[in-house]
Amino acid sequence: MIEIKNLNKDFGSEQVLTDVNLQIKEGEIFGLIGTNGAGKSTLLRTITGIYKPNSGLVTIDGKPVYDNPETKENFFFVPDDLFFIKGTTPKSLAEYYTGIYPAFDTKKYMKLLDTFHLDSKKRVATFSKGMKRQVAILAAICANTKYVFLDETFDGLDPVVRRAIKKLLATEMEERGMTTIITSHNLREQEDICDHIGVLHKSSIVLSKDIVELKCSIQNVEVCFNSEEEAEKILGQLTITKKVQKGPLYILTIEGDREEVMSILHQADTSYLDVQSLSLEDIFITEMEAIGYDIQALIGE
Amino acid sequence: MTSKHLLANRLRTQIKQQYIWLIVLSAISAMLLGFLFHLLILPEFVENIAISHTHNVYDYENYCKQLFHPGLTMVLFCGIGGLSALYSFSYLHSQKKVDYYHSQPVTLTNRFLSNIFVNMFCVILGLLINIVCDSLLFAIYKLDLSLVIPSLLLCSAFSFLAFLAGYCVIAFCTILTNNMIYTGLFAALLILGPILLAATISALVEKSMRHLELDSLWLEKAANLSPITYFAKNLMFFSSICTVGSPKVWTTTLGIQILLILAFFVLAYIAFRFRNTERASLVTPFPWLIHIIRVVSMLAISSITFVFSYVFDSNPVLLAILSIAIAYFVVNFIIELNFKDTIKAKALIPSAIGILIYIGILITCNYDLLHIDSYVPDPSKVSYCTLDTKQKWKVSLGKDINDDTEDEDYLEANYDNVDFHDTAAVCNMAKQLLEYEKTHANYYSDCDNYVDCDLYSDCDYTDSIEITYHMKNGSTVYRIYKYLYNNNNSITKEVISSQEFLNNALPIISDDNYINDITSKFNNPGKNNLSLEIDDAFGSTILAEINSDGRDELKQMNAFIAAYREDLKEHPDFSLYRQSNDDYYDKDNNYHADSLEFYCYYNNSNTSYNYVNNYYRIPVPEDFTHTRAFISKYESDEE
Repeated sequence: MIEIKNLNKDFGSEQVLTDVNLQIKEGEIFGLIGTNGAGKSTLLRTITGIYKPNSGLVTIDGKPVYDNPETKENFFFVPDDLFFIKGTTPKSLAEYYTGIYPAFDTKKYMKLLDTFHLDSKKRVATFSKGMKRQVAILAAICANTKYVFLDETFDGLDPVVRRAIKKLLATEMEERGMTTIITSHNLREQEDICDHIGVLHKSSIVLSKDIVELKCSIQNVEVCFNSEEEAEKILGQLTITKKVQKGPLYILTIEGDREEVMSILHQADTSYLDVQSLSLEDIFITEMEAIGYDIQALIGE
Repeated sequence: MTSKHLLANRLRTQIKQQYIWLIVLSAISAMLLGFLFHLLILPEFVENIAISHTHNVYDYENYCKQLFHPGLTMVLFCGIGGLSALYSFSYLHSQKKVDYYHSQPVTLTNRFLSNIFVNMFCVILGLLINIVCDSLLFAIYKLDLSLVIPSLLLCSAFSFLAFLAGYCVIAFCTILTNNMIYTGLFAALLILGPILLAATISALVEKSMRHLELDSLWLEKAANLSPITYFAKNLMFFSSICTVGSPKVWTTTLGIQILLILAFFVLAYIAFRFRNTERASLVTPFPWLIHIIRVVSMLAISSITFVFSYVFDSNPVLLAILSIAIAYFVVNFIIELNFKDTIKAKALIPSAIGILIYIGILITCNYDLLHIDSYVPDPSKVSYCTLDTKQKWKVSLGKDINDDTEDEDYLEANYDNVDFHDTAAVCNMAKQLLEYEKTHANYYSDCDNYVDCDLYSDCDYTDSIEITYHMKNGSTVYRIYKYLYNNNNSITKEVISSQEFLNNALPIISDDNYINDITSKFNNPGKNNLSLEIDDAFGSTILAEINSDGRDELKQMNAFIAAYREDLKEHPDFSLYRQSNDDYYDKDNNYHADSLEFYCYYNNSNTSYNYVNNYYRIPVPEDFTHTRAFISKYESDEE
């Protein structure tokens, strides 16, 4: 399990992570989402021991990470901006990683390279951006580490490869309980693959929830009440994060257990009622708005 | 990962990259050139050995030192070391490379050491190959390998030390900064900074202090503050003098060199261990360092600009403002590496601190606020003084060659390193000279500040006296005073005309050891063309060449010295009159005109005259009483 307690990190005068607390359980795919500059990459680099925390604790399986090779042997980090040693070929990369990660499965790696139509003898420098990312992800999977950190993973991958990679990650999770931590701006992607979501905003974790639980705990409701008094009575019983009224029609974003929300609304005297689940993107926007992120100003509505 | 794995891995990856090949290729080329050189000079060496029949380890050492030319080897191996360090640690300047390497299961210590060991391994391998090749060549010529191998090993060890010196210093610079340009600037600062700073301080002192001068020794000492200069200078020296057979001569100093290298190694390690990798886009990974860089750079560039712009204008206020503006622009440009950001007001506090220190130094120097310039020590705390004076004496140069009129001129007499124990008299003289300036110097009458004004007009003749106070606590205080020419200057007369000063300035008067020293050259009677040299205070050398013409040379010499001493005693104020006189007079005032070669030459570039050799063949009689030297005015081409 990855455990982050009261983590703080600054870049001089700029506070990048403030009092971050997070738990990532084993065997899940954790999606880290956040606004631009929220500190996602910094958090990932701090968890992987590249950055030293100013204060707080980052442990993997109870052991500290920074400058601790014993812990670092348990994870593989694929950063957003990839680097390959000059002259590296996918094959030589396997040789290099074999020396670093004792459980690196060269046979599986070569097989996967073949499956993804990547020439193992060609220099990685000549590959396209997407192909380089494929090489890096395949190496990460074949390193057979317990944890894999993927920063902006699906950038530059075509839809087919994306799907293949997702499947590969899911298989690894199933077969050997690999834990994957993914950051991405593509919430649709995150929604498809992740079990758990953490939202980072303005250097702090503002939300960390199981994705199913999250989707059940917030819903979009369109409702027409038969009287103003009724509307006032019912709305007072609900936790509404967003309310838009168009004549008699209320468009509401309501937090809370779906069954409880439904039972309250069913008791009401309504002429129209429609309840929809929110997409992860909607949830993200709603959460961001709830904590003061001025989306309207940004999109000009 | 174990260190063994890491080392093998690093070696493999480094070999795959082109940078290491550049280093390896340059090292191989250098070694090949050395080997070719070896091939060329070895036959001659073999021939010499065969001729001499006796040869030892020193012959081989000298030969090896020819192969490993000290200067060339130091530069080459320092350069290879620097390049290797830059290659090994420049990955720290790139965030993606840091992400790649530092997320791997390797401790920082392990990574640091493996980088160094891989490079050391390459160089040691190269040196060993070189030793094997050289030894093979020696073996082919059937030379004694037991003599040559220690020499080769010693020379290789020096080369390796030079490599390490270059490596550790550049590694330190690379780790402390975040891109190659800053690494280069930082390295330049470490190498040239102390010398530049010393030169600037020297120039500032010259511009703003009247009684303080910093000599070339100051620059030399400052150069030692630069590790590369220090390493290069000393390693070159020691690699040229040390021998396998005399290790005690050089082991201590070499030990200091190794300790210095180790110190930089430790500094580089600490910087590597504690650098903030997240600051990859900034000048340095250490936030505090950038403030120090700003303050020091502002101070240094302002001072340098001030000193160098002095040739264009002498208004110190204008120069100070101009130099601050230039320094601010240059410092910001160096730090931002971007013209747009350069003109923005950034980091004003560190810049302001730099400017305030700079202005503070200028004002302090200019108005002598700390009384450094006008400081005269308490005589009771002074052990003794050493005086160096320049005194001008009016002399007759005889009749002018061209217009047959009597010609007069000033000759400058220099009395150097004259020790003087009446400290109260010296301190009193110094105080009086400071008072003298207040009534006579332009600075006090015409100018508002020190920097803006020359002490005396250019056309004035000035004498000077330099005093080194040797304090009882072991320190020394140095000051120089200038005053207008005055043959009868009452301020300096008490000291300069005192018997102690005369005895010490001209040891020929009283010091029998000095006499013994100069006459020791004269103890080989019977040989022709013996010479006696006496340096006098006018910078001239009186050279008497005495021919063995059947007379007693020692008597001739003693007569000459006695006459010279007599002259000096008769003229205690040193107005030793040297008139145009192509002869000498004996005690009965008899005229003598030939036979003794009597050289008297002056070569004082401070005056507009040079005095040419003139000699007379005058036999030195045993009753010789007076020396008379002829000084002819020389019209130089420049005039």
